[in-house]
Amino acid sequence: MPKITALAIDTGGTFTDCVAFDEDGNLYSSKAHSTPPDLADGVLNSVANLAASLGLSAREVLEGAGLLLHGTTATVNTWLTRSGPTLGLITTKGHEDALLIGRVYQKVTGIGEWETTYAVKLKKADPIIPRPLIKGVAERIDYRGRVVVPLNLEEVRQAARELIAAGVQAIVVSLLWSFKNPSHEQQIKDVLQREFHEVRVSLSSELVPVLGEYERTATAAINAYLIPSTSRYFGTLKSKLQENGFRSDVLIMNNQGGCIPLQEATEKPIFTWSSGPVGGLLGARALAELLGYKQIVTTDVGGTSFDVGVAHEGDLVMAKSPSIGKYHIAIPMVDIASIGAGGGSIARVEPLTKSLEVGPRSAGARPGPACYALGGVKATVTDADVVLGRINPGLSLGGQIALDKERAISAIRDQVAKPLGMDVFEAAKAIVDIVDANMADLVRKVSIEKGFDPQDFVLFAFGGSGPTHAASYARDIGVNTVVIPALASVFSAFGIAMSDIVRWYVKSSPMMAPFSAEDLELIFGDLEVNAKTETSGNGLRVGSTEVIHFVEMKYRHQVNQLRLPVQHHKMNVGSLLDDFDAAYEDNFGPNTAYRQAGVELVTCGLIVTQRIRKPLLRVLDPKVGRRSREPKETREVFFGDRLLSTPIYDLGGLSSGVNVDGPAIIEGPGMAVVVPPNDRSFLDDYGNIVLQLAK
Amino acid sequence: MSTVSRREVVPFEILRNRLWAITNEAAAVLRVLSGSPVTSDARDFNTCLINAKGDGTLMGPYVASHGIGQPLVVQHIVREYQTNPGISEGDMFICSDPYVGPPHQNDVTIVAPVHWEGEVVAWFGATLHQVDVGGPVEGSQTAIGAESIYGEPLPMPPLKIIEGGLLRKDIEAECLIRSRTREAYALDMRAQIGCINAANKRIKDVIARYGVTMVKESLEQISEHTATLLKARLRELPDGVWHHTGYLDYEDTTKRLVYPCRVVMTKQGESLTFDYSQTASQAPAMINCTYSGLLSGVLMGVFTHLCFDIPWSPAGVLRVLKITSRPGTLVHAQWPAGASKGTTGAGWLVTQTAAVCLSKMLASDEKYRSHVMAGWCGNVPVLSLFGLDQRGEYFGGPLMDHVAGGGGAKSFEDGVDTAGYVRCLSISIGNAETQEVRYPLLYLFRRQERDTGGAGKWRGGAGIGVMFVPYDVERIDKAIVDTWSYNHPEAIGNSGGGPGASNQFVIARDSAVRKMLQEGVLPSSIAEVGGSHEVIPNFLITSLGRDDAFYTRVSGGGGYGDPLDREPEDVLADVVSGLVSKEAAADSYGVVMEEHGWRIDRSRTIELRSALKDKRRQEGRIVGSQMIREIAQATSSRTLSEYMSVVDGAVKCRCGRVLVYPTEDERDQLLVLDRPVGQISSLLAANPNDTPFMLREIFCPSCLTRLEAEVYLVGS
Repeated sequence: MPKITALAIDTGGTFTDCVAFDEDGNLYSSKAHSTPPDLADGVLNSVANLAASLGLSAREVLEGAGLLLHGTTATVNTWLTRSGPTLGLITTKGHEDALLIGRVYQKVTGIGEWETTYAVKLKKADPIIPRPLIKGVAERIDYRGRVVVPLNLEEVRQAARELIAAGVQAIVVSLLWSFKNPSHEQQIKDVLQREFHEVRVSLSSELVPVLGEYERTATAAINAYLIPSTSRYFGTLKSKLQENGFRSDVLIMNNQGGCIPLQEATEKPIFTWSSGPVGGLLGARALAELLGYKQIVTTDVGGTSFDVGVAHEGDLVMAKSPSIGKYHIAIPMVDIASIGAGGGSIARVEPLTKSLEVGPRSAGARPGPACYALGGVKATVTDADVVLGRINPGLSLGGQIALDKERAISAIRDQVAKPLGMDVFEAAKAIVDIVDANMADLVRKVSIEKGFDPQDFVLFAFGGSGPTHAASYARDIGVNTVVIPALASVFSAFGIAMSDIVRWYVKSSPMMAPFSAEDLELIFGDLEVNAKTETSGNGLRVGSTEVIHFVEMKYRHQVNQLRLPVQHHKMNVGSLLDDFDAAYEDNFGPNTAYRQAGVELVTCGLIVTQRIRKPLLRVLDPKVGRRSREPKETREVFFGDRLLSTPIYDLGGLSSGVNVDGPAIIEGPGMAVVVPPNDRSFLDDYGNIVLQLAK
Repeated sequence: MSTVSRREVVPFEILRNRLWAITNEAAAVLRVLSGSPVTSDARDFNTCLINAKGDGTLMGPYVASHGIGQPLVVQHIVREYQTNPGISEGDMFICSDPYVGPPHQNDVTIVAPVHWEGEVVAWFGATLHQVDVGGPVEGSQTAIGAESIYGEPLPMPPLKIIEGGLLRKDIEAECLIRSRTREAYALDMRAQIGCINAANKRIKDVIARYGVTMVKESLEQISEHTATLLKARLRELPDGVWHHTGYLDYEDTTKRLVYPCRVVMTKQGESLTFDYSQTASQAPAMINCTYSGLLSGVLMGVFTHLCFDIPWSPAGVLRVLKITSRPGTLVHAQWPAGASKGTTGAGWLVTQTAAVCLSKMLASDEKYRSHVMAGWCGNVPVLSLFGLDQRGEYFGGPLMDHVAGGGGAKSFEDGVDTAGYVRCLSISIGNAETQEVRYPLLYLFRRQERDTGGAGKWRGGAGIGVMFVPYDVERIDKAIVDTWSYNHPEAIGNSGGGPGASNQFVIARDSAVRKMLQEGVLPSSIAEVGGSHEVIPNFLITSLGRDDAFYTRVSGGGGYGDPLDREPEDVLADVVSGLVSKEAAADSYGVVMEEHGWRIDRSRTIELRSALKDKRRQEGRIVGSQMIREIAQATSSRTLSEYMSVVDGAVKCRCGRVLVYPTEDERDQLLVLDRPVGQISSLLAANPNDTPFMLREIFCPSCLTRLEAEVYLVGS
């Protein structure tokens, strides 16, 4: 009987995945349906399913587990259903509209490039705080943090009275330059807490002390909006876990590349926003470290979206200007690029020009592709995969029990093949080729923007349709090696299991060179105090702690900001400028450095990582319980321009080290790996499938 | 009609997406390498993929006029430079001559051929707005007082800046010597070169993979695809003739002139003609645009109003359009007319006037009425500052707040507040905090300005209102102002909606702002700050002292439908949100608020709305309706707008009243009211008591619905 030491659970839109590991480093996984709105049930069910597969009860697993890590979409649900509290905002008089003006580009934020040209449909955000609940008060601080107009506390009291009378449940305070001098925000907090204790107060300077009133205010407002429902959810989760015998710590996945204690996630739920896709990137990073890959690109192909992440020697690439809905926000967030391309992408023939478009519209999970037989009638990419024989209709793909091949054929025949005068195989192949090329375009865009040459990186493919399409889109961009992880179908949960506690602390402090070492020491000193309070106060059993100090700099009159690690205790402010010039040219090419304009330091920050115990991935024993490379069957699969008799392998039946040459299909839990003719693959020591693509 | 052959379906779709991706990625490279706020915030740059002949096949998603300018430069090179100096592999050409292609001298354009086995297969171009390209005035574009292009920055014809891969030092020196901001110029130029090199390599990868024939064919198919879809759209829309006149003023401290820009748009079957030949002759000033500005101006109207779901291929659209004009006019200037402000001047007005006609056409079709947008904000007011900052260092450039004009109202909802403009839909402005680091300023307010959105059943979007004082410096040496839509509104409503507010700049010299701040008071209007007030004419070069408060109001969008049709609750919501004043709620919308609290006084609202209609009847005069008969006779539609239908050749109001009979008839009548724009609202002109512009309102004599509201110049 294995003794489970830790659990990692990822709640997604459709499924809740659970990965567990035992004392010996063995990994186990299970799935359960997600159960909105009471997501905790799905979490418990996934544990129960896992326990059952091991012949245990959920209580036995939970009582023994020393740690539970969890990624959740709870915040996303609150946002999408707009079920947060009524918020009020107190801000600097004259700047009440900053959140509504949204730097003008709010109307095109968060939508695809192809949608920005649809002028009549462009709209700004449905305001998270309606204008009548935004109150300006007399006060002003300047760019150096000096008080220009003292805070008028009477106006603060008046504003609070009006907001509370209007039914506001929480008040966000965000004043100009508060990151530079938080005294006015603090005074407002004191007054509100003393005199109006019924409302919750959040300060922008406490959550995100960074330059830019729009993003800072939006971040504070969205965080406040997410707090009540997130805190209800985490409360329920914790008590249900405790009822079932769990007595240890719960860590929640964040969007900065790690996890944080549940209590912190309750206070700063914005840090858990959209953390699911980050899980996959962390999983790939862990494998890459083990396998010795330096540059990796991860591709997660779900039903509606294609997500791409990048890590360079273990460093995750962060987003340049992250957004939630139509709001730009000010927290550092791992960059996951996304387009509407996936198994559910709809194929359509433009009647006038007879061109074939695939996506970005999607049939989603419901009604889903025609072959799901759940009411969907549109021809989709998954239908094409079924028609081509790449997906076995009997395969349980993303939980569908069986796929209806006849429906897939008729959808593609009627909607694509007939209008184009093709046969149904040609039409299905055309759909797949086009969606694969679109995916390749995104991977190329992301990697080029990060300065990567596709030939230098290893591509990881997971998610329901990733293993089916990876060989094609990877070859298109010139990638040689593709890794399909053993746990591809629960890969985000695996990534969560491989994470550490990670927190970013940032503070803007715009200053022009020459910089003063003393000023920087002061700022870093403040950040370290914050970090110490948070990292030591929670009683968690953690391993070593690692702190990276960094600054963000730019040339004056320029906007490109670069993050530079610094040795803060013996900081040489002179060499900082040379380092910046060098880093700039590294990033943007020779002759781009522009020292004459002057150099500006914008932000100081810390990345604090506390190591936690992770599963030690075990090498598979090639001799135990596994047999050689015998296909379980052969099937007709369409490759190139014809059907080929293709061996079909069961992943569970392959031993490590075994080579499988294309054409072949390897079927595992919830996935079908396509190995095209002339490509080779092998099962590595850890049970991952490694595709070696022919040139 | 062109369709893709069966064999080509897949490669065409892949190449269409891939070439689009290459064009966009190159734009992203340009933006990152440049790093200048003009590129990053204002997005005043773009890339274009051009075929071997010089047709603009695809352009990036930024300022659309560059998608016209770059192909024109290529056409010039292909026509003139074939043998001398020749077009060879590894060459690039730089150009800033608006008479060749770029919209104005600041829009420095570089184009390069893409060679494959010795043959030019395509071209790729990159343009960005340089902060300064020389000339008498800082920032180059606002060449006040120049009577021809000789008083402006000297334009640069296409020069071979890169020859066989080598950056020519002599040509680079020729470019840089002009500029006050040489380092930035050099850097931006390298960004353009880097961007074109990246695109060139990617295009060659694609040729290597898919073959040169397929790529050439795809370039053709991309344009033809757009042309086919646009023609199909036109076939669905009613035939007809629509016209509109917009106005460009030229006023400095010495003179005041107004130049009408008239367009007649004729739609017949799948053809669409814009005739600008009745536009005023060219001005002896910088405000004209060249042929390039005319083409791109029309194109941007057509892109946003008809191609919302059609790929934006400039050449594809131009295949369908017919644009006629008279050389020597404001919108088709001839050498040596000035053109350094042709972008936000005449070129802008071309887009604005084309858009008005297109929206009228869309409004006359029941299916496409949902795609009507009343006029977006008029020509942008630009303020540039140059001088020494709080650290004693030289700074300079445009303050970007002015881009935040209001969007036009739609037929189903209000226009977007502080929306930007249709000529660049992804534009942005910096935070006030960022601006205060960049410039020696203290912002006193920055808000969605009350009563700037055009009144209507659906309100036009509000423009921005901004006030600042110089901060931490004794003075700002140069404040350079240019604007139009200044003494009249240019954002016209649709279907009886009112115009959005005009632009306005006001300086309060020697104001009491600093004293007020010391006393704990944050002023909320320029009226409160004292000092002597100067309402600025549309061009001015001045300086700002430390106590000079500067106020900018940016024009709002036009409204849609009769404001008396607006739901009182929507008016209340606007009042509560500070977008409409209580006075305007009553005067424009006939909605009365209770004295205390935020509630509608229903009975007084009903009374007031009825009184306002009576007033329309009393003050209006009955006139014949020749204009509407002409429109009705030209159209193939059963409706003219939300309120007017065409039945058996007669035009009927929604109330059933016949407004126009099929033949001239003495019973034909409309109720018309002409008033100076300043009388309607003090926000419709910068100097409401001194403007030569009128608003003509047209009502149904029976139900008194406002059917149209148009702006015109006295005496025209």
